[in-house]
Amino acid sequence: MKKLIASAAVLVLSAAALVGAREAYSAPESTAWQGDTVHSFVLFKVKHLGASWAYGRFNAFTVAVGANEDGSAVSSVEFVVKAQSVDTGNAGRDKHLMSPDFLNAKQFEEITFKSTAVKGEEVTGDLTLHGVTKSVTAQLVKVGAGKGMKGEELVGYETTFTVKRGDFGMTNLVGPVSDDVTLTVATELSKK
Amino acid sequence: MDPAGMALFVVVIPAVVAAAALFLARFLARGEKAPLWPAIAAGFAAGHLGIGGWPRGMPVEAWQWMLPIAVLGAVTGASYAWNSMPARARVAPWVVIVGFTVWTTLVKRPPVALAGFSAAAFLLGWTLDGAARRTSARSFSATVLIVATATGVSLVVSGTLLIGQMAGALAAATGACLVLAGRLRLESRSAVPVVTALLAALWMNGILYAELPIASAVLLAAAPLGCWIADVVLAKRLGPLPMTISRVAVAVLLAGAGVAVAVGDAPPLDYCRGAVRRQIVL
Repeated sequence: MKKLIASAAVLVLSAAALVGAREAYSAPESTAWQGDTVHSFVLFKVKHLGASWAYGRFNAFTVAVGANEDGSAVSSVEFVVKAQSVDTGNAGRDKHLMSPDFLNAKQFEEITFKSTAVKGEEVTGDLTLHGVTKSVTAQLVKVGAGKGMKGEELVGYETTFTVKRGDFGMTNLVGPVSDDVTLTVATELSKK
Repeated sequence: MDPAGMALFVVVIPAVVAAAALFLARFLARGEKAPLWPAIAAGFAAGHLGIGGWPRGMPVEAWQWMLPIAVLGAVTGASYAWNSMPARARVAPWVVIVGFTVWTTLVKRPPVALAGFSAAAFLLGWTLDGAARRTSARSFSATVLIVATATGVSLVVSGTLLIGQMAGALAAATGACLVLAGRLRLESRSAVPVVTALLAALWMNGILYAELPIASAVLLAAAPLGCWIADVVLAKRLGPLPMTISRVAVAVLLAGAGVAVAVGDAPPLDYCRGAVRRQIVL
């Protein structure tokens, strides 16, 4: 009986090891790349009164990307933006944007994106904005690659995509301020 | 929302719905005084739906809870109007409406904040109840109208047009009650829970999610208390008309001070003025 239990245990462990080995073998090679926030930007633009673009940025955020060794192929993208860091170059407008009229930034402190699938340059993921999560797809464009001051490897990516803020429950003042919000995330990544 | 839409959803619809609810309440009261609570709750709810849109599922944002708060306030008002309810049992609906209002508006805040805002809401309810007991429905409506209007102005200058408009809807509903108070026999005490809950929710939203200064909210909340104190102190010395004028003056003074504090502390609106200036220069 003891031999039977021992054999079964060995069998289960072996199977687990084999499954683990297979998963390890099939997983794509991925290196973690960290966004340099000084050389990264989260920008947005909305149409104001149908006449002009109003631009703004978020000053506090983190970006993390999973990519291959030389950074040429991305496997995952994740960013977290502090909604209260919105900056349009005007304090009054920023406070209005942070209020429940728009971002409600004191209740929904973070805007996040986490990729769920990456096919070449096309990244699909869950964007959480204003407490609502929706799947969005964006085209990721490699800007370039280079060496940092300490010889570290750098790579730059940028993506621009448009969402309807109404889809995220931000329905107030749609009209004077457009429903379409175009977001640009530009990041310089260095290998972790 | 354009100015015409704003006037429609913030003023006209809440006032018309409140008036209709008041006539219905009078019909159902069958000779008794018609209660104010259905008018205020229905008028505010209509305004909320017009301004914030029809709810799509459970509320997500704190301000969206004001619609269920108005409904629960109406239910509480109905139970409050039940004359045969023992005095001690009247505490229970108060605990429910205040607890619900504070809990839904605070969203993930520490228990000390929950306790503090609940105590403040109970204090507000107590003062409004005192004002409603001592004064006519017309005076009560006038006090709430002044406070709600001042709250709306304070919220708008504090950076939230949305919640300011909600306060406007409350003011419009109460304004309709004030106008009809001259024609109908009205009972105001049962409206105290819904008015307390809505004012508390408006101020909490302004303080926690916009830039409404606490001092402004305190002054606005002090207006009904001021009316009550003025009533107690001056009632035996003054006739009905001077008394009413004094009461309104106290409410206007305190609510006006609340607006002044909000204006003084408001985020700069130079991006609006700048646009105008640029147009002039061009």
